[in-house]
Amino acid sequence: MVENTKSIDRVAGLILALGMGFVLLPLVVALVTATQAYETVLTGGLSWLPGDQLLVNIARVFEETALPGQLVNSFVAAMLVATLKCLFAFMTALAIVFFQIRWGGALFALTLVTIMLPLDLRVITTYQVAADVGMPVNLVLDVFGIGPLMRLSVLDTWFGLAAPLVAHGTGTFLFRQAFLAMPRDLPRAAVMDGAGPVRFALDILLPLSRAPLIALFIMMFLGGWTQYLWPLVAASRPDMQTAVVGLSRLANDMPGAVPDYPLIMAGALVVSAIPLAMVALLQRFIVRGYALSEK
Amino acid sequence: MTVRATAAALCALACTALSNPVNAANFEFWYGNTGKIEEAIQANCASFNAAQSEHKVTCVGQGGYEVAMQKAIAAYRSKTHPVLIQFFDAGTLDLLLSNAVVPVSEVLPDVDWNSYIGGARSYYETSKGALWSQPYNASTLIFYGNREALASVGVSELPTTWEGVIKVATKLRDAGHACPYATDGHPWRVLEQFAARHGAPVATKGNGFAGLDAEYAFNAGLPAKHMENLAGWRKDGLVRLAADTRAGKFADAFNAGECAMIENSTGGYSSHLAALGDKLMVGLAPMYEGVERRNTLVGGASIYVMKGHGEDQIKAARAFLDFLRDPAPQLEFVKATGYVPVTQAALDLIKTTDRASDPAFAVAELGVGSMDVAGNEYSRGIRLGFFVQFRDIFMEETQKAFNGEKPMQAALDSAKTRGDELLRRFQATYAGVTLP
Amino acid sequence: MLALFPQRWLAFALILPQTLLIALFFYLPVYLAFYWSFTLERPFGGGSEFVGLQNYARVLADPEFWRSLRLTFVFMVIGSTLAIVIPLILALAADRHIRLSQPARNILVWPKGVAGASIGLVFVFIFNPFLGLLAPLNAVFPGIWNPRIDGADAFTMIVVAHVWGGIPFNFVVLLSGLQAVPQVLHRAAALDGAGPWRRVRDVQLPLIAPQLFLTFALEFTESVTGAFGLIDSMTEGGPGGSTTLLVYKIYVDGFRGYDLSGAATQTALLMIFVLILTAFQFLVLERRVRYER
Repeated sequence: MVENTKSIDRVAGLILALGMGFVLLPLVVALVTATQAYETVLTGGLSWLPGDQLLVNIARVFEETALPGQLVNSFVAAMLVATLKCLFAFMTALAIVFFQIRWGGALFALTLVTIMLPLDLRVITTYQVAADVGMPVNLVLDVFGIGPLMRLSVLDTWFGLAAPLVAHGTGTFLFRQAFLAMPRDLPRAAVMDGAGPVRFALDILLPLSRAPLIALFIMMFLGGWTQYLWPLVAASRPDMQTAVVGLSRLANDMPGAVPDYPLIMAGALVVSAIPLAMVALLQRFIVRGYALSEK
Repeated sequence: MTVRATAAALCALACTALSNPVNAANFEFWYGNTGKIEEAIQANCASFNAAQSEHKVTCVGQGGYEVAMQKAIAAYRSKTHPVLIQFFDAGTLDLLLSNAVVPVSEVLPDVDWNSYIGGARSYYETSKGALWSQPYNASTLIFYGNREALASVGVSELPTTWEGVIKVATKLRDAGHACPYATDGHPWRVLEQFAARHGAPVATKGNGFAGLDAEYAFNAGLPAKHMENLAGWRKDGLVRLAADTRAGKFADAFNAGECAMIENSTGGYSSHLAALGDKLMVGLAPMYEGVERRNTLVGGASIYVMKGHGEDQIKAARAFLDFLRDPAPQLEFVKATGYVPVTQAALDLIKTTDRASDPAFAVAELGVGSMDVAGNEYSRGIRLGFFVQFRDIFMEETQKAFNGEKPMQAALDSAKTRGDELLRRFQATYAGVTLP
Repeated sequence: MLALFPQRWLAFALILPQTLLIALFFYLPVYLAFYWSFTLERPFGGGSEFVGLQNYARVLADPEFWRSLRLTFVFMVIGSTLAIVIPLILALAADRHIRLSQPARNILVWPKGVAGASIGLVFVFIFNPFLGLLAPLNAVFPGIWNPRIDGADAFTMIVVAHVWGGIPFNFVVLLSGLQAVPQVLHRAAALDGAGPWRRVRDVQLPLIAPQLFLTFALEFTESVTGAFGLIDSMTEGGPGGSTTLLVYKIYVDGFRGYDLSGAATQTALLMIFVLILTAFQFLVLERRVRYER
C-alpha cells in the first residue's frame, strides 16, 4: 500500500475478523451443537462448550435417518448435472464456433435466454413436463388423432433430478468464450494437418479448455448438490430425495419435545461435508469459475 | 473421469427409462404418511402379500398427503397413475369432481357399506348415498390432559366444556404454570372439528354438500366467537400458541410436559402415550355450555380407486380393499398407530376380546364414540373446493390476528373473502359439472 | 465464427442433446406457463377452458399477490444491498496486504458449499427464541424476539441467512475487481493528498463499477428465487404470510393448492418482472456505468 497507515490496517483486520466470524458462526454453532447430547441442549440451549457426543450423533445420522441413501442421490445427481452439463455444453459450443451452421447465432441466442429465467421460476410447469416427458410428442400425435405414444415420468429418478438443471446456457456461453479467445491460427493449422473434427476436439480443444472445464464442473457439482426447490418437488419418495431436502424434511417432521438439534446439526455437517471440503480445497477453481461467469 | 461419468450418465438415462412398466399381476398403492404410520401401512401391505399369492401390491410412500395428491395429479395427467391411492380429507371435493376416480360403492357393489361407522362414512359419501372412497386411516379430534399438571391444582377429571377448560387453565396459570392449554391454530382443530361438534356451519349449503355455490360462514356465530376467545385467552396467559412454546410444536410441548391440555387427533395418541404413560388423560373435545354435542368429523385419509386401469388391476385392487376392511388387519393398524377402527365389526372385536383393557386401544372407543353422535347438516363433513389452499389462508389470517396485526374478526372476515374467491374459482373451473 | 468444418450431420448431432433438453425443460415449461395463464385448468385434466385475461384480472386484483410482490421487492432491495455492501467492505479490507487477508480469501468462500436450506436450519436454531443466541434477551424482555410470531423478526432472520449465502460470489468478484486497480492510480491519488477514504470513493469504487454492476444484476435476479430454500426450511412463509415471497407463494398455490392456472399466471408475471428487471439493468444501469468510466 501507499502509506503505512497502521490504524487503517488495524480496522481492515478487524473487518475481516468480523466477516470471517459471521461466516463461521453458523458452522461453529452446528459443529459444537453436534457434539452435545440432546438433554444438554434441551436444558441449556445454545452453548459454546463442546461435548463428547459428536461421533454418537453422526452415527445416529447414519443409523436412524434416511440420509445415507440420500447422500448417494445427491452425489449421483450432482455428478450427472456436472458431467452432462460439461459434455453437452462443450459439444454445443464446438458446433457453434467451429462448424458451418447458418442458424448458429439464433441457436446461441435461444440458449442464452435460459440464463435469465432460472428453474425455480418455472418450477410449476417444469414439474408437469417432468411428469410426462413424452408431452410434446403426444401433443403432436393428438393433433393427428393418434393415441399417446410414450408415457414416461422422470419424477423420482436420478435423471429427473438432474436433467432440468442441465437445460441451462451458462456452460455453452463459457466454452464459446474460451474457444473464441484461443489463437485463431491454431484450429486452422490443425485442419491443414488433416485433423478431422473429432480429433481436433479431443486432441487440441479439450486440453486447451481444461481450466474452464474443471471450473465449470466444480461449480455445477456444487450447484447440483445444494439445489433445493427442484429436488424438493422432483423427488418426493424419501428414498429418492436428495440429502439437502431430506435434512430439511427431517428437521420439520421429527417428533420430539424440542427438535433434536444435535442430530439435525450433525446431519447438516454430514450433508455439507463433501461440498464444503471441495470449496475449501479447490478454492482457486471456484474463484476462476466466478471470474468466468463475470465475462 | 469423463468417460466413466458419461457411462454412468447414459446408464442412468437408460435405467430410468425402464423403471416404469406396469406389471399386470402387480399393482400400486400410493400413500402420503411417513414415520410410524408408514411402517404400519407397509405392514398392512406385507400381510396382504403374504396372505394370498394371486396379487401383489407395491405400496409407495410419497412423503406427505399434499405431495401425494400433487404426484397423483401429475401422474393422472400423464396416465402413469396407480390403481389405488390414499387421499386426505381436505381433498375430497377436488377428487369427487376430478373424473379421475370411481366410487368404491360402484367398484365393490356387494359390500355392506353400512357396516362403516356413520361419522366415518358421511364425509366421503354423496347426498345420494354413494360412497366414494374406503376410509382407511381414520382419526378424529379428542381432548388430552396431563394428569400430574391437573392434579397439582386439585383437578382430577378432564373438563368437558370450554368454560371448564378455562376454569382449570386459570387455576394452572395462577399456580405459575406457563402453558395451561396449547394449540397450533390449525383449522382442522380450531374450526372444522369445532364447528362440526357444535353443529355450526363452516360454509353455507351444508358445508358445500348441497352445491358448489356455497359460501364460507365461519366468520359469524360460535366459530367466530371461539376464535375471538382463543385470542383473548392467549392474552390472559391461559392459552399458548405452538409458537409461544419452547418446543415450537403444540403436541411436542404437551409431550414434554410443558403444556397441560391440548386438543389433538387420535392419531397423536401413541406418541402421547409413549411420552406421558399413565399421566395421560383422554376425553371428548370440549363443548360450550348449552350447545348440543354433535359428531366430530373423521380425519385422516381414505383410499380411492383411480380410473383408467384394466379389469385385472381392478380385481387385484378389490382384493386389497376387502383385505383392509377385515377386522384383523384393521386392529393391527389401529394398535400401531392410534387411528380408530372404521367398521362396527372391528370395534366389536376390540370390545369382545381382552384388547379392551389394552391401553393401545383406549382411544378407539372414545374416538368412535365421538364420531357416532347424531349430527346435523353441518357435521357431515366439508365439501368445499380448493380446501387445502383455504386451510393455508385461514392459518395465515388468524396468525395475523394472534400477533396483533389486526383484530380477530377482521382476520376471519378476510379469510372468508379470500376463501369465497377460491370457491368461486373452483365453481368456474368445474363449470357445467354437477355435484354428485 | 470460424466455420472450419462442413459436416452438417455432425454439427447437428453435437447440438442435439443440449438443445433437446432446453426445448423440453425450458421452452416447453415457459410456453405451458403462458398457455395455462389463459385457461382455467382442472387439476386432473379433462377440462381446460380458455378464459382470456381472466386469470390475470384475478391475480392482479388479489391483494395477496401484491403483498407477495411487495415482499419480494423489499427483500430484493434490502437483501441485495446488504449482500453486496458487506462483501464490498470485506473486499476493500482484504485488498490490503495484511495478515488476515489470506485466510479471509479462503474462509469467506465457504458458504458456497452449504445449501441455503441446510444453513437455514442452523440459523433457525441460532435464532430460536428459547434456546438460541437471543434467548438471554428474551429472558429479560419476554417476547421481544420471536420469529415464529413476529413477521419482522422472521423477515430479518431470512435476510441474515441470505446475506450469509451471498458472500462468496460477491466477495470474489469485487475483490478481483479491486485487485485489477493499478497501484499507480493509488499512488497518484495519494500524492495529490487524497486520504484512504477518498481514494476508496474516487478511485476504487468508480473503477470497479463493472463488477458492482454485475453483482447487483445477478444478486437482484438471484434474490427473487434464491430465498426459497431459506423460507421453506426456516419459516414456511409465515408467520401470517410475512415471509411469503412470490416464489414461495407460487410453490404453495401450485403444489399445495393445486391451483395450476393461478400458479401459472403468477409464474408468467414473475418471469415478465424478471425480464423487465434484466432489461432495465442492461439498458439503463450499464450505460451509466460506461459513462462514468
